[in-house]
Amino acid sequence: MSAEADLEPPLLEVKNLSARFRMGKVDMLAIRRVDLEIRRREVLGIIGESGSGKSVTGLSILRLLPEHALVAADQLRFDGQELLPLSDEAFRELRGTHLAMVFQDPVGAFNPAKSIGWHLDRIIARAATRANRQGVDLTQDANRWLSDVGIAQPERILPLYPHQLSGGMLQRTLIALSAALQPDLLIADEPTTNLDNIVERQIIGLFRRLKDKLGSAIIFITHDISLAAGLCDRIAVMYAGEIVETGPAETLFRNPTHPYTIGLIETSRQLDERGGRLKEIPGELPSGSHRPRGCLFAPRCGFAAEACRAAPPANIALSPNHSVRCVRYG
Amino acid sequence: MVWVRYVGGRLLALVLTVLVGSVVVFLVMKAAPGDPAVAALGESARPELVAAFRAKHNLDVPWALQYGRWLSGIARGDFGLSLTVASDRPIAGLIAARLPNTIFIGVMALLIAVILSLIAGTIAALRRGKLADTIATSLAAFGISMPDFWLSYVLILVFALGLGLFPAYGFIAPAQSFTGALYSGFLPALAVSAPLAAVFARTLRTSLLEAGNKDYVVAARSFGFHPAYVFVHWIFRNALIPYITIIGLQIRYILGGVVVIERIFGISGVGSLMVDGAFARDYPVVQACAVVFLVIVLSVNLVVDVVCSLLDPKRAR
Repeated sequence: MSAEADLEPPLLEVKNLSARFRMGKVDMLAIRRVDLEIRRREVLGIIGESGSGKSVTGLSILRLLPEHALVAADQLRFDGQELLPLSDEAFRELRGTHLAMVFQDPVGAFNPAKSIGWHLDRIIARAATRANRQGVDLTQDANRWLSDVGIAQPERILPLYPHQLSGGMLQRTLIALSAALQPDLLIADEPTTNLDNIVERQIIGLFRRLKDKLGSAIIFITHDISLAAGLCDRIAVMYAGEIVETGPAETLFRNPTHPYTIGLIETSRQLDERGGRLKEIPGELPSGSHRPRGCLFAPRCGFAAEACRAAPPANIALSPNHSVRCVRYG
Repeated sequence: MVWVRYVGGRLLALVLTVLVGSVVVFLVMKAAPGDPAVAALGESARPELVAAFRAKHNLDVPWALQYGRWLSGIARGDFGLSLTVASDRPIAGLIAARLPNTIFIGVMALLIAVILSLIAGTIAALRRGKLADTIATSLAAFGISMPDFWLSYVLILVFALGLGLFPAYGFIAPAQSFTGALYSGFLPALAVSAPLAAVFARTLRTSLLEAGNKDYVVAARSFGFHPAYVFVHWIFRNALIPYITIIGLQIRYILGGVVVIERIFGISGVGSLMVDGAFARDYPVVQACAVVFLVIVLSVNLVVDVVCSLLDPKRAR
């Protein structure tokens, strides 16, 4: 991160974000104590295993969780505006213009009754509602994004229906359509899960262009730490609904401090170096209703001590932009 | 071209089904007890008269030949002569005079069921768990469990005899006066449509709720489309496919209902003709009506299938 970027206020500031789901009489806590910051022209990676709350974090920011979800935050500020007090109607105006999301399951994200061209037309119309887009040829622009992700002749897929395209093809189309909206903030939830390496690289290239050319900020949600290391400026590691470590991608990858981050990086290195048996982090995520009193990771942690089980660890700043939630650094 | 082949294939299948159905109708009527000649002429009729009657109505030849003559007659639009209901009059004429009434009541019942269910199903889904949903769902449960003949009498009691808004008996043919037919056909059509409206509404409610929970709705919201726009193009559009499929499956009950309702309201239709034929042992009339109903049901199903294929890209040929 450059020094001048530090002077610019963050595009998105999240403080103490939590989301819980009402399940009958009990609440299921999905995420809590989530602090995030992202500036323009920055890619923030959120990494963690399935069920760690990465997607819920993204959906909470965009107010896309189902009705029985309760989202709260001390601060949820986007471009100088607090989002939580906004009416649904005012919030809707931000989506598709300033805020956009790429979903994990591309097949499910498309309207099965409508053709790809129908989706494209609707999204271009949506993009055109933003004031500074008047006079821009958005169709041409969308076609360029499509060719950027390797769909050279978009007119060939326009008459087709979602079920006639492969998952990878839909994923690329969805990403291109979201890019065509030219949002200030794009939240991409595991956008490369269905794609092979070549297409994955194309997508990564598209995200880079989006941030360099348009100055968009991107939240990149993934379980693939080496992918995140290559694309992201900063990384937040999530575990059981909390961010356990956050810092510059390089620092985090070279000098991980939280035992969970260390475990994740070791696992991915093994994957990269020899394809043999994976040394997984033993144990599993605590469930939403049965959470340990102290550190959430303590039951699986090799370093766990008495203090870890007694009380939840505080967030400790190791440097101005690197912090960790672990008593070992207190 | 693809469509011509698809619809052509379905039409061929329809003709084959009608053929098989005609055999079943023919055999079932043959298996029915009682000699039609005795039924028509009485127990004490002279043997020569009985023999003449049998010759005239094709009853003196083997069954296979009877069936062959009957079928080739139908192909030429000749359903034979009535035995007892309207002595010696061609059945084709009897049906032609009554079919418009039956179709009118049937279509009207279908339209009422569709309109009621679109309103009730949509409100119930949009206000799920709220009072409006409870009312719509309870009404639907009531509609499904209510026999149509009973509902007919309730409607007559309340709207005809009680409030005097509609006629209790009789029907003005649509050829005579279209508005008159709408007015006099309203109560019978409503009685036929109630159980269907209930089934349609429940299906629509479930399909709407199901479609509303799909990821594509969240995706549509993420693009910032207006909630009403999302409802129409994502939720309703996708719920429409199971909804119309159910209409196709249920449509035969309209005919079942029409048969009963025509008797109750004194409507001169194919349904009442069939009932009269059955009581009078006029088996050619019953056979002819059964074949007509068969063709109607199959044709309607064909139309529904084609509409579904148009709506559902996954089913398109």
